[in-house]
Amino acid sequence: MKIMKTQNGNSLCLALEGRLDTNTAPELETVIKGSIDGTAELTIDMAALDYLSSAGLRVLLGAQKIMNKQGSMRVTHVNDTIMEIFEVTGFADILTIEKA
Amino acid sequence: MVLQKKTAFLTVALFGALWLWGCKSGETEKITSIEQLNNPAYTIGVPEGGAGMYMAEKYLPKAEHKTFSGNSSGYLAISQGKLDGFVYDRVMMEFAIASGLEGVEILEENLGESMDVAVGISPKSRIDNLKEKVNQFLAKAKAEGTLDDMYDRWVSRAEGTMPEIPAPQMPDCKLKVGTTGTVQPFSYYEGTTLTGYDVELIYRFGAWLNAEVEIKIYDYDGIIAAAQAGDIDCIMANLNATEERRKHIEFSDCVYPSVTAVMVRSQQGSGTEAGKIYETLSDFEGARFAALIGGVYDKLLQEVIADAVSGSMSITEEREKKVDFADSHYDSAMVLLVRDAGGAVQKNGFFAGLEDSFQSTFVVEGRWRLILQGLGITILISVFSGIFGLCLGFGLCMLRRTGCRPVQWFGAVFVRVIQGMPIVVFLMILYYGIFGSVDISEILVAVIGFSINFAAYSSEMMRTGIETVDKGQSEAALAMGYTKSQTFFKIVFPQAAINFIPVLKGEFISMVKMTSVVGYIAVQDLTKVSDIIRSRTMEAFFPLIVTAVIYFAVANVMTAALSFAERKASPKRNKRRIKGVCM
Amino acid sequence: MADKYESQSIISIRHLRKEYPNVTPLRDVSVEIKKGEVVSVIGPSGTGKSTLLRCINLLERPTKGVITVDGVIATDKKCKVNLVRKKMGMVFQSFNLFAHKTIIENIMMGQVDLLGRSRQEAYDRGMELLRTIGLGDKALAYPDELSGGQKQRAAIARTVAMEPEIILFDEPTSALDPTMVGEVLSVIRSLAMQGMTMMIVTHEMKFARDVSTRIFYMDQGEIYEDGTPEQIFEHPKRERTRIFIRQLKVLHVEKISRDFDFPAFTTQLEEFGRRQQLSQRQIYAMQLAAEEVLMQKLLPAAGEAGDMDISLDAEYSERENLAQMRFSYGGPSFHPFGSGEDLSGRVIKGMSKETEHMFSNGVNHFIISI
Repeated sequence: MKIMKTQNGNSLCLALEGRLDTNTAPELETVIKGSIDGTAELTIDMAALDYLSSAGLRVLLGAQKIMNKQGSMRVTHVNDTIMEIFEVTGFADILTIEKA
Repeated sequence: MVLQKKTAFLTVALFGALWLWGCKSGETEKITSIEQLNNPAYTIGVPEGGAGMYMAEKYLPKAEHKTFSGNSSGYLAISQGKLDGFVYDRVMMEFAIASGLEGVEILEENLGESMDVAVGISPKSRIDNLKEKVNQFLAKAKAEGTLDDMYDRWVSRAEGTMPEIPAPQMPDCKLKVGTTGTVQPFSYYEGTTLTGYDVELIYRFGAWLNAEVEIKIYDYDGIIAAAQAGDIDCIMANLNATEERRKHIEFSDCVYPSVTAVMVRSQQGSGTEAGKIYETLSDFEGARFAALIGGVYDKLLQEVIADAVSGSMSITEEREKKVDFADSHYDSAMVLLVRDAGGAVQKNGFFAGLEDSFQSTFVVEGRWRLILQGLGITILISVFSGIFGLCLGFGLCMLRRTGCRPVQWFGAVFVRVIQGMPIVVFLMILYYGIFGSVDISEILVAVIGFSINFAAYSSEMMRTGIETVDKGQSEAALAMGYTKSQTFFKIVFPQAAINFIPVLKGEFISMVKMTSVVGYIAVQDLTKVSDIIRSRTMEAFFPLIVTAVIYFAVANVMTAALSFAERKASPKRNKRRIKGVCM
Repeated sequence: MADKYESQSIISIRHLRKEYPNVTPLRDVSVEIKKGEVVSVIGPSGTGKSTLLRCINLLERPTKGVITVDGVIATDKKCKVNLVRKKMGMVFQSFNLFAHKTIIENIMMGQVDLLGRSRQEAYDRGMELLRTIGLGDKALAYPDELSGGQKQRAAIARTVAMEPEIILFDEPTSALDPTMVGEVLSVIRSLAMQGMTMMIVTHEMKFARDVSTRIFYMDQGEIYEDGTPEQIFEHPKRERTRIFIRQLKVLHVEKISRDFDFPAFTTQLEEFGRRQQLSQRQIYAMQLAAEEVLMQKLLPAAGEAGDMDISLDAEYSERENLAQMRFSYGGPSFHPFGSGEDLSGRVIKGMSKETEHMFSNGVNHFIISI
């Protein structure tokens, strides 16, 4: 998985590419933890993400919990399959999601 | 009529082709002496094994030699220009010319010394001391003047009448004598009757010996082998007692001495004889004529030009002795020429020739009966060999299908051996070898030989025919509860038959044609009979064409008959109904 | 041995084995076939179905074993095989009507030659049979003038005319155009309804299921599973039967451990899915199932429970358009999502049609249908 980080003032955009699974989730977790301080607006761009498993969901949930305290978080460009994952797990209600 | 035209056309085409071929070697200078021929540029014909061959090898070693088994094929070869010279017995060659052989002449000088003509004695004869008996008989006949009288009648005067020689009433033994049947005046057919000097000698010897006589007909190349194998007791066929032959069989004392001469082509086109234009009948004065004794032309010619035979015939010493015979022998072709030149039927020359050939081949001496006999034997051999061969072939095919390996192997080897051998060789092995010392009819040997041969081929065809029947067919029958043999005979074989009958038909027809080689084992079939007739008429084509046409007809009739049977056997072509059922 | 069970059975086979120099199509077959049974023999190609049939009527000689037909030991050397065969009709894949005889003659021949009927009787019986199968007007035709379906119907009539105790059908419709299969099957079906004892080697599953009273599933030279159509088609007990019945395509991985190369397997699974032309959604769900179960549950648990001997079959049934991820692992009974609904459990439940856990003989089976 590739992570493209774009910092614009206090807004941070992370564009994900590839597979976010058990193996790659810790990587994303590290990036988020390292750059989330002082961020008021976090955007996770999933336009190039192919796959998302429960491991990725847990990282997203952790990020959402932090951002609930210091600003807002959006998940953008979500494709149909990943949207289904969000829906069946109830994440659709927790996260702010913008479909592709 | 249509057939006649077709035959005529075919004949013309054949004549044309052969004439063209003949031309190639025709451009040589005229041969006037024997020594001229002793040159590699010249091809001479020699008779197989005879005195001619012996003399030619001795005195004309440089010339190219071509061997002929019968004299008539040698005559035809030289008259067509395929040979430059033909070395043979002088008397017989003169007879041939007298009988109508054209475009040839005999050189005056003799080739080599004279050679004994003697009776060949089989070393395996069952008659004790046969050689001594023959010599006793000959000595007696010589002393009584019988031999001289015979020579005078048959050879010098060419009367051709066989005296009455009573056959012994209570024969002590059986005497089997071989002769050729194709050499006038010694042993030849007049109509269907064998006659000639040698034949008279045979009957006389038989009477003297108080033996029942059986005469068998062979070519010169088969006759020695037959005597050697013991198929015949002796040979009376104006046989020269050459050194080579003495190695194989014994010979009696001399019957008469023969001299060898050389026949060459006479200069056609430029020679006076052939170049002369005959305009009126009187022009024929001095021309040479010959006609068949007792034939229609004989009489005709004598009526028309009574004094024709008087003039400038080149008379040699030998001929001088035979003025008599020359008197009464007229060339039938020359009679035709007379009519041609007379202008009466000029345009129909070819057809008249055809008619004439027809006469001499069929009508004269009732030769059609001979042809009919030959045809009968050809059909007999073919049909019986076909039937027995089929049965034997089926057995052989069954052998090869048994589970037993050695039996299969035996069958396979048998088939291979038979298929790999020329039928002539096989027949001769049977006749001279296996049945050599058994008193068995040659026709039976031929039937046995062809049956075995046909069996080998038909068994292979049946085998492949059976193998092509789908395995499912026999499985279905077995599954229904048929036994193995029921399955084979009711289901597999009938279907195989549909497969192999057409092939078998072709094989049978080719066997019919192959039977033409039975002459090698003294069977007088259609081909052999046509040889005999040719030896009398001195004609190359007509008897051969006739033979070909008869074979063609026989083959086609048999094909038609087999096709009819095939149609009957093939289920689908039959009307569809079920036997024994009320529908 | 002549107990009640034995006397009812028309064919009894004991330890039948058939070997060829290179292959052994029949390893060990023991089975009883009772009067009135309609047995369909199904299974993959080359597993000895036809060989079994051909051994029963001794078109193939068994290498070992005893076959008893109607009380007669057919494999006995002294036995008159043709008499035994008379009791067993056989219908072939390639019809094998006698090519040189008309259809009616085909049917008459055996009756006349083997049953001793008069030609008239044989004809009447033949025509009666031909009319019932709608070939009355083809009586005088030759086999090659008939269509494949007509040939096979005539071949069945020929067999029936011999009044056998049992008819063996060796793939009766395999050589036919699809359009002609129906007419032949309906003839066999009507025979079944008349109570004819039959043994049918076939690839027509629906037909086998409808017409049979009993199914043999043959695999690797054995009768692998023997049961009623319901048992075999609905609840196959054994693995290979199930795979065959549901026409499954399988990707099998075994001995999965901590060192398992999961990314490589993901690619493998994707290729498998593409080959079977699964949708992207199905492939995704299969990958998810593998990841959630293996990576999130089983492998972490394996660390605690020692070697679990995990294997996984990814299966796809084209006919049902159903993919299944079948996990099996040793150890104590363990449901991966048993302890309440965690995130992995929710993902799996949401993305699959059904999940199932079974535990037997110390092995867990966990099945996710997608």
